[in-house]
Amino acid sequence: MRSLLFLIISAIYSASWANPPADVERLKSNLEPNFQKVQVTIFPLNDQRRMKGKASPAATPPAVWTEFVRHLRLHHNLRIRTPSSSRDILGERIRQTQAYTKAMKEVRLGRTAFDEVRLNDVDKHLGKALEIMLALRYHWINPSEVAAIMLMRGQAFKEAKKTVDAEFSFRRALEIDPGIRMKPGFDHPDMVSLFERVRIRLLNRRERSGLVLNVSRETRSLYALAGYSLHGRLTDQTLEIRMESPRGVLRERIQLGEDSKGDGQRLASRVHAGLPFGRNAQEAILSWLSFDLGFDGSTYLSSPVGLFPHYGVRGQMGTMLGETIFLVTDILMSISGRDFHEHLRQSITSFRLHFGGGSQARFGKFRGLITIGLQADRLSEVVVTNSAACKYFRPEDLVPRELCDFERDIDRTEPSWSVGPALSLEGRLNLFNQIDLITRVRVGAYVLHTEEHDFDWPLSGTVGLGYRLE
Amino acid sequence: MTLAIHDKMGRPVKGTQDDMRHFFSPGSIAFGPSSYPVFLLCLLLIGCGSERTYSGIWREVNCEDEDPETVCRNELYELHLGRFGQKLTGVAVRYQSQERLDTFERSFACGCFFVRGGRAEENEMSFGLFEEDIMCTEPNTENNRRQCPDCECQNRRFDLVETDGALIGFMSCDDGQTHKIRFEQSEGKPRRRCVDLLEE
Repeated sequence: MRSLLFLIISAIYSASWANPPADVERLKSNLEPNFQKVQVTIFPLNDQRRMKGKASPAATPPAVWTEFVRHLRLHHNLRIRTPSSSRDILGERIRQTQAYTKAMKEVRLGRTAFDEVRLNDVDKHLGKALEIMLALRYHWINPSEVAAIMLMRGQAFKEAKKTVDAEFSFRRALEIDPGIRMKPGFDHPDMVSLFERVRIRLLNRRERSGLVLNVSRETRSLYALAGYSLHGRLTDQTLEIRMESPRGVLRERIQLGEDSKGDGQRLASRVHAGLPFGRNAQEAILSWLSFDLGFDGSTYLSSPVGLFPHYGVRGQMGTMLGETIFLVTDILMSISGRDFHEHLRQSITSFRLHFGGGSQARFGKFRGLITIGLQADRLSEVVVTNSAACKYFRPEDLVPRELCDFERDIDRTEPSWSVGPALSLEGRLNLFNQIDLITRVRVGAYVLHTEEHDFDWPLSGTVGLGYRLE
Repeated sequence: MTLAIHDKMGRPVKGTQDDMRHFFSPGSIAFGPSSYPVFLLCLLLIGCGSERTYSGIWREVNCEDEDPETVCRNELYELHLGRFGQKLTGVAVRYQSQERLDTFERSFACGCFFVRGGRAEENEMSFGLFEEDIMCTEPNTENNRRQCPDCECQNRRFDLVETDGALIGFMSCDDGQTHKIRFEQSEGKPRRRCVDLLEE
């Protein structure tokens, strides 16, 4: 029998030590039906070559970029969102935010102030609008609109004789939309001249974009579904891909040659190598493991001495089984306070073990969980008396038996185990990274006792912190 | 425990922890699922513990100029009380009053009784003394240092109200005698036994 057990354990270990198939092999064969692809969002190309010459609206993308996107889409472990669909989906999402509405209101006020030559108001309103738009990264979605607002602000600065600020605004406008230009014959010649000076300087210096963005919390949640964001920047000599994800930023650059198609494919292969492969949903069953620790306050709704508090520490471990189903197990160690009349003559120490499963619903940073489980409680000895004299005096005080008979007036229940079902409601608010704030309410009922006692319907509330391992 | 609660008009409302207990009792209107989070918060933040107000040592004060109704007597009571919710217990010790001396010396003790039937509600309390079935005797003149009349009166009962930090009320007996009595709180460890005083 022992040999058989040894063989089984050996087989399990041998299987677990076997080399998993290489990613290349997995790509060549068909991926598993439950395979979870990696979400990649490709944003519209920033074509720096458009900074040369006259105004040029974003036209047909260059061959190297088209080939890059096409080749990346061939990798079937990736779920690619193309530049046009990124613009549509994320643009729509941004336009539904309150921040965008506020930015648009500021733009309208800024334009009115511009028409009425209230230069300080132009700066105030357009500055606020741009701050919001950049924080929302709206310039990724609609660069020409954001650049036009920057241009207008720059013009107001120039009118107000703030040349340095004006140059800065023109430069930012060109960085976001290299094809944007002033209109000779329509705009003031001094303005056009200044803009052109900035443009030529940018072309000569070949500077990289120095735009530092303040990314708001709202923006993070907006782009959370984007997965890995790819931003392309094309110059005469290079195509650079900036890959952003919650895990960091990675840059890949290729020197352009004669073979645009080959360049696009090579860069796509390098970017693909920098992306995660994706995972099998079967493997991801235990993808979500949480460890919680919290302070617990509890009581018994049914008790021979009325309501009295217990204070304790609860540790919990939980894991997700799929999208919404999870399993939890937790341990509580607590000690009771005293009831109002102090009928309870010594604190009850309890040890509670719970095992259950449930379902969760997610609302942004908040998760609501409901759990049904089985709870086993170990209660220490319970000593109860109704006699005030028995509470105050000790046996050695020789108090008259008419007032307190220590033999008869004190009731003792031996330590016991009680088992029964429990229902929990839990809220988890993600504070930062993998740390959650947890609140939990649980009510149980006892079905079985090893010793008869009158405590039932344990109700507890927990406040604590959780660490989620994903 | 007195709670600082205000009504809708902002006026202070006096209540006790017993009121709070009633608030959460199954018969209360406030009882319901919505009251549990409040109760849990109470558990976690302030705790809902026992009621021990007025527990401790209380010494009788008499012959006070400001209270002419307090009768000057030769014996004084010292109460060692323990309150448990609405019940009261403890020990009452009698001392012979000694002019210009600290009366509450062990050597001046001349009687010790267990409290019985004690009850406390808000700032009022009443209790009797457990008295053995003994014959009334006059003080022993041979050694009157520790002797009080064994039967000052029978079935003594105290009805007291807490007023400005003092317990003020009446001590009455079966024979109809009643006199005003006043106690003030004293520091120390409350007494739990009479045997050491009675044996000597």
